[in-house]
Amino acid sequence: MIFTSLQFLVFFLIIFSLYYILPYRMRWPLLLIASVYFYMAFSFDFILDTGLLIIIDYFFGKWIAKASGRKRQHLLIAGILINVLFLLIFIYYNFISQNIGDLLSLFYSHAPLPYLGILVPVGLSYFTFQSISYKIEISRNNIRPEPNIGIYALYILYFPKIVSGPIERPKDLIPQFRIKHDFDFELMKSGLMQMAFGFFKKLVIADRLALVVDSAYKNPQAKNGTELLIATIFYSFQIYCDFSGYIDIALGASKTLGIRLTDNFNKPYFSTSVADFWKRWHITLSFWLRDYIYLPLAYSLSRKLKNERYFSVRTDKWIYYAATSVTFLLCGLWHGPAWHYIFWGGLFAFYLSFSIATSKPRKKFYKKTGITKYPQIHTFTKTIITFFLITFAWIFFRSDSITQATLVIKQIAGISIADHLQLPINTLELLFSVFLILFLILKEKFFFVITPKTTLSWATTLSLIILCCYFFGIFNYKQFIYFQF
Amino acid sequence: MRTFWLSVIFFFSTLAFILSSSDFITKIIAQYRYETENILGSSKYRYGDMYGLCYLPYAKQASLRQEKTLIKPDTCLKPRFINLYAVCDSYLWEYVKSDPVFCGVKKYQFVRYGFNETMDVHLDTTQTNIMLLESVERNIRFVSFENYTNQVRFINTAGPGSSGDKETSGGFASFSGFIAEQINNLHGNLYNEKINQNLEFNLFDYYFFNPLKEMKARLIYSLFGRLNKEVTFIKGYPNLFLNETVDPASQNSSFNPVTDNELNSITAGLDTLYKYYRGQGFDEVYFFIPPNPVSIVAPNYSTYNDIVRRIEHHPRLIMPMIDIYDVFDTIRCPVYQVNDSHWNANGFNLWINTFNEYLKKIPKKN
Repeated sequence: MIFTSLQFLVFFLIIFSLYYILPYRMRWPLLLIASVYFYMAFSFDFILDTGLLIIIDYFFGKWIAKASGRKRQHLLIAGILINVLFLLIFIYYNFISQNIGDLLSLFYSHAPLPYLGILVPVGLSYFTFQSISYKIEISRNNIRPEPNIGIYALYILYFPKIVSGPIERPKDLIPQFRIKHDFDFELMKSGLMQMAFGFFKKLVIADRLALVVDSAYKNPQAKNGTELLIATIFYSFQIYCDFSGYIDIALGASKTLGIRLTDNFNKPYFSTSVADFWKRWHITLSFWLRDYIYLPLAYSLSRKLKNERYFSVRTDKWIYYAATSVTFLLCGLWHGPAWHYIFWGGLFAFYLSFSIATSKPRKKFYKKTGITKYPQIHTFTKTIITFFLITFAWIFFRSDSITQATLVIKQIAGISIADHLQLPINTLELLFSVFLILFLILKEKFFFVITPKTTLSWATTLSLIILCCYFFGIFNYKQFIYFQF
Repeated sequence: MRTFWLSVIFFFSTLAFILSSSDFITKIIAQYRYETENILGSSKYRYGDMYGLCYLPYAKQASLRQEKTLIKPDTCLKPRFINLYAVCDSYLWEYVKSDPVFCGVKKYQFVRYGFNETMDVHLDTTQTNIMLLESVERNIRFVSFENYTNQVRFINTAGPGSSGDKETSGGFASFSGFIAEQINNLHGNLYNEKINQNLEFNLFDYYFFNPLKEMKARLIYSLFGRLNKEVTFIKGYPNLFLNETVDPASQNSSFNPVTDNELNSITAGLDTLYKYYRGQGFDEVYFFIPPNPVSIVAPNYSTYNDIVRRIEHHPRLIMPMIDIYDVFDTIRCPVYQVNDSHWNANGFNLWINTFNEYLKKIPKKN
């Protein structure tokens, strides 16, 4: 039941109307039933596994709250280990066993570990992070354990965000299920507008750009440098429109029900540095990694290491490099059990570490060139450089393997004016795609949120967006990219 | 007032969801809506299935229904004594549902290939029984024994498809099988795989939406040169073709190479079918392959794999084939509709004449 299907639209209308017809006390059970139904549309066979995990996490939450001192710490670690075990079995087992097998095959003729032909429950990495977050927040005394297992289950399974996030914190989401939301026409208008623009981003922009990207990355050997460069730049916008389109639909749908989810994007391609990018891209994931991996690791290292210099670099910098590397390698691994994702994460760790290591010489360079006197040019230059660094990293993300990514880079490096373009779309559609990208940039720059003031202007704008989706949308039921994570 | 409107939304969306979740109900609705001319009528097949896929206004021409009215009844004087059974696809069942077009046939019974339905055959071996099997060219490479036998159930006749032949087992295996079946049924009922298709049909497949659909099709085709991905044009020809029959990368294509080994395997499969039905008591079994429209209309678009003739003239084949390819290939008038993947009345009449020639030669049993 992907968001861009008719099935979802009709399902959503049923839930939306019934939600406001039913008395307040019946609403969370309705949302829970709807979420279970929605989840089972993707992972029918895993509802029992997921249910078991929810029950285990619910009780761990209670036990952690009751315990204190070392016992609390042990319970927290045990609870997290259970979540990690689920991830290991469902997502990482085959990757690990294959790599161990490859390593051992250097010495033995057969791979020692069997391959598990299992499917992955949809949204597993998202709700595992939410479960971990729930237990850590209880152990830090930031929240109390949820007394109602139904509401806890809803926190995990809430249908607008179960498939691809945002990764919600318990203190932000759980209380909202207990608040009585009266029907708010303005909120509904705003939610529907956000959903409509989400559909536009996905159907009109992302899936159109995907025609070029998929064709190029399907067989990069047969493509020349120019085609791959266009496809790679298009991919930067495709993945943004695809994922932020999904998030807009999720946030908009939830908003119409009076429940606000955390925004995951804040104009990421206007970032002036890679660090800035990670404050604007997949915000709920990067903040989760910051709060639960990066900061605890950095504090722990800083407590253990003396404030000295190693190889003429200060300890705090070493700590930064180490914590950043671990965090981003895990970030890469979270996206999938494959080396190209890990490399992608490692590349960002390198960008950030390099940025810190070269901050002084860069400042000197800016001063020398006098570019800081022209802040607009300076910002523009930094934005463009950041965009191309991120686009370069996307090559590893989009490719099927590091080998394929290397091939794409080689082909792009050999770009030539004589390259003949053979794209799966005609010239007019190519220009239209470029126009859509420019439209998106301008819209984000000047009207980040579309807020028509009167109901008439709202209805007109909404109708126009729907008509654009109908006329220019690519309706091939293409799944969202982040669905696979 | 707000609750009233919310209740209206709830009622209609729930109704649409439930109706579209059931293939059975959707089929009943579809039967009515394909036939009716009123505001509830569907235009999906009315102007040809290719039009129903792409909505290009220029392709909105003669409807399949009009074509069917041009089908000539049988005029041969042979007495009617043949029981004709058919496992066929839309090339046959869309055009003929009773016996008058077949020469000498007193009873005609058919089952639609690939549908969830069965044909009960009470075979009286004292009478003349003929089995007619059919597969359009694009599907011929996927023909399997099961495809042509699972939907035929013999009443009071021994054989793998007979009603008395079903295995029964008791104990845990039977119970776990029952549970697995119930879970599968539950999944099927809750999450119908065709729900989006059914919702589209129930919510948007009405005449009054056609202008909007045509406007979109014209706009996208003229600007971006793109049609619905299932449909394609070939430059210089008026017909709309199923893309899978044209794209050389597709196994359904007329231009996808077929190896001799594959051909041997297909013909061996056909012979197994022949032996099976003869063994069941049929006096004769025939197979025929309606060519893909592109194979007749534009065979020079790419390298034609010539699969129909290669099967029909295969030296080891024992299954009698009704050769229609050569008839179509030599005829000068159009035998396919331009806006539909099926033949026109002319094509069907040519085929039925050819088949009737075979039927004429069948002697009556003493």
